[in-house]
Amino acid sequence: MNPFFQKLVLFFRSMRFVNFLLVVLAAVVAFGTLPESVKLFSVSPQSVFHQGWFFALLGYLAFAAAWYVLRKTARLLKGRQRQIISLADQVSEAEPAERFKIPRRLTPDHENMIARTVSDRRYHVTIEKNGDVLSFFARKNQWGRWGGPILHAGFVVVLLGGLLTFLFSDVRDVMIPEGETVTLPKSKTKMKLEKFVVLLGSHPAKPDNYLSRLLVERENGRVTREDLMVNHPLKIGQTKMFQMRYRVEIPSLELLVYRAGKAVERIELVPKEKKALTQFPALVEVSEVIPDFVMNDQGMVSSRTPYFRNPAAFVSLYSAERPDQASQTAWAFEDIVSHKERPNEEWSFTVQKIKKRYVSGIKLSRDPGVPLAYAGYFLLILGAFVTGFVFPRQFMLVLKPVLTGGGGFQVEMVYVRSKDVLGVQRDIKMIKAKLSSALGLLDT
Amino acid sequence: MTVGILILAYLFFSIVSLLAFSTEIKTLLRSSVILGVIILIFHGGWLVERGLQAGHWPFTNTYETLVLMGFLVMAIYFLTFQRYRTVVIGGFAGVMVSAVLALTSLVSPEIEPLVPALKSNWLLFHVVSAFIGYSSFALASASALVYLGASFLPPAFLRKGKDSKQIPLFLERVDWLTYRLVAVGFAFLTLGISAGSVWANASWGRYWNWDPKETWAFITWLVYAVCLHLRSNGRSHSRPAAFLTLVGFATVMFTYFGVNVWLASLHAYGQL
Repeated sequence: MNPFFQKLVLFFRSMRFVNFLLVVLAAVVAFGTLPESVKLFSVSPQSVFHQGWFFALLGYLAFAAAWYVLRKTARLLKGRQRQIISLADQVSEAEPAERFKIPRRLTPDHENMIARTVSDRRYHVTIEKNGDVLSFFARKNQWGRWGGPILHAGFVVVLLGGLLTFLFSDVRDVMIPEGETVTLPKSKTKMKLEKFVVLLGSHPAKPDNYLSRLLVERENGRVTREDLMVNHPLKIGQTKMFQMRYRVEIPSLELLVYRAGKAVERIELVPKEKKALTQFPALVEVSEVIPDFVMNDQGMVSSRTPYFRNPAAFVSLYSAERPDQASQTAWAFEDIVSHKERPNEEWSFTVQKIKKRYVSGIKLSRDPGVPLAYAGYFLLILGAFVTGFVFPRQFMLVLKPVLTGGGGFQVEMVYVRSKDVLGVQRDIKMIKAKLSSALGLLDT
Repeated sequence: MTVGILILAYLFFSIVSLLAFSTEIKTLLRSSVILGVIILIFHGGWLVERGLQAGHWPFTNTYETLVLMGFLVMAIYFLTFQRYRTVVIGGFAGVMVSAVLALTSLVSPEIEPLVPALKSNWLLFHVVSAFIGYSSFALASASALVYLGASFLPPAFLRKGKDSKQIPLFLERVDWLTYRLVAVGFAFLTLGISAGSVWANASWGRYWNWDPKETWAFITWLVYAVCLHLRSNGRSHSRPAAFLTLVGFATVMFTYFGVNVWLASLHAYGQL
């Protein structure tokens, strides 16, 4: 291959290029979180997540990760077949740690003792005898090498799940008023919202939960009653349902009209619509309803919570001659409330009945990518924990007979350079200290 | 009041730890450990008391998570100290925890009942995992700062009264500690993001929404992934990795605070 192309291929396969792409990805998704008013090269922030080049970027990273998984897995499997030789193969990466002398002849018991001392540090020991040279190959946490491939495989699987979600998921929000029925998408299942309830607890402003009571008629004709709550999704057929938001509609309300302190008329109104009184030449309009009011010292009414506990309605009264200008405005409550700051007026009102209807916001989701994404998360977590907590360590202890100067054995301990150099050095020091007390070592 | 006492105590712990590092007096070293453990027990006790008072796990708002983060930073420091004996990191950690606790003065300490979306068992899993990750990154950034400081300072300044072999060994140990903390933080951040995603699917019907909070958590994950990549091929990239650890922690802080302040997020819980 042309050297230029060779270099190019090497560059595209390099970790440096992958790191560069990861930084680019971080910058792109960071741009995606900016407000919609910000635009760069006519691309709005949220739209970056749907751009072709964004998918190409993720695709390349998925390909690079998959390639790494394949290469590394093949290498690890090959390494398992050549257990003993693999350490000797890496002798170029090995670093000398300790060199000392055992000033005596070694018996098989001594050899067993050395093997035991090493394996006490949770190393798997393999002994190899080559003439007079005795080698102890020690390795532990070798499965930690699988962390990287598992983690990268998880990344690929999550992205595949994301691709499935992007291509085939059907997620939509529906607002169902109480008493109405909807048909689930791509299904004949029907669902009627019988009742929506805000479950209130001890705190006035924070509900315990929202509940939609549904009557579900499945495709096979079976009818069941199901409760849907926040954090408790419901699965019907292939569709999952999630309780999201709600709103309240007020189709009508009933007021009792007082004149000079006497009840004179009961009137049913639609909010924001003027209605004439039957006995007097006047019109009444309710422009606002507050579900739970609070009143301050100046008689100003404001909303305390969005839950119907203590409603108030803002009423305007118009004379028949001037229906465009309110002659009197007042807040109406379930009881007559007089306030010291506001003198008694000719007309007053009380709220008799408020017809309200809840509209439940439900998310319907058919997402075939979820199981794959979850499997990817599992692999990501497993891989990240193995990578973060399990560090492979390998070293070799070689005993060579000393033919001069009183005999004995020359011991050399070398380790394979890995991430956890300090750990393997600590182990080697501890093993040497134990051997020293048992065999009486001499440093050389 | 309790937070104020904790801030002062951690600052004092920090001074004792830095003195122990610079003077190498064993009594000071022991004092720093004993003092730190006492403060940590007091800190943990206060968290438990708050949880009992609230009737739910004490990490449902910014105030509580700041207190939790401070606790976790110190707890992780003591776990690392057990093995690596890097008391200087404790000095930096003390200052960091004091700063984190000082931030509680900017947010409401009120105990609030949980909104429906937060009433889930995933809360414990998601928040605690993410904050163990954040706390590991905080400590890693302290360690990276020590590494960068030590590696950029003139050798003559560092060698004062020390064996010349000790400096590279110290640097190697701090560098390794930074790596380990980043690796541990990365594992917990991965768990936190994944748990959050599963929870989002149960609560909002989508496991990934590109919501600013989750997007910035993903950005943090990417930054630390690059940081880990720098060390994966066996070559020494200690300085760039240490710089990146600091950048990563800035990202963590933005994910934690910046998103809440500047970007509209589903995690705001103003409404369901």
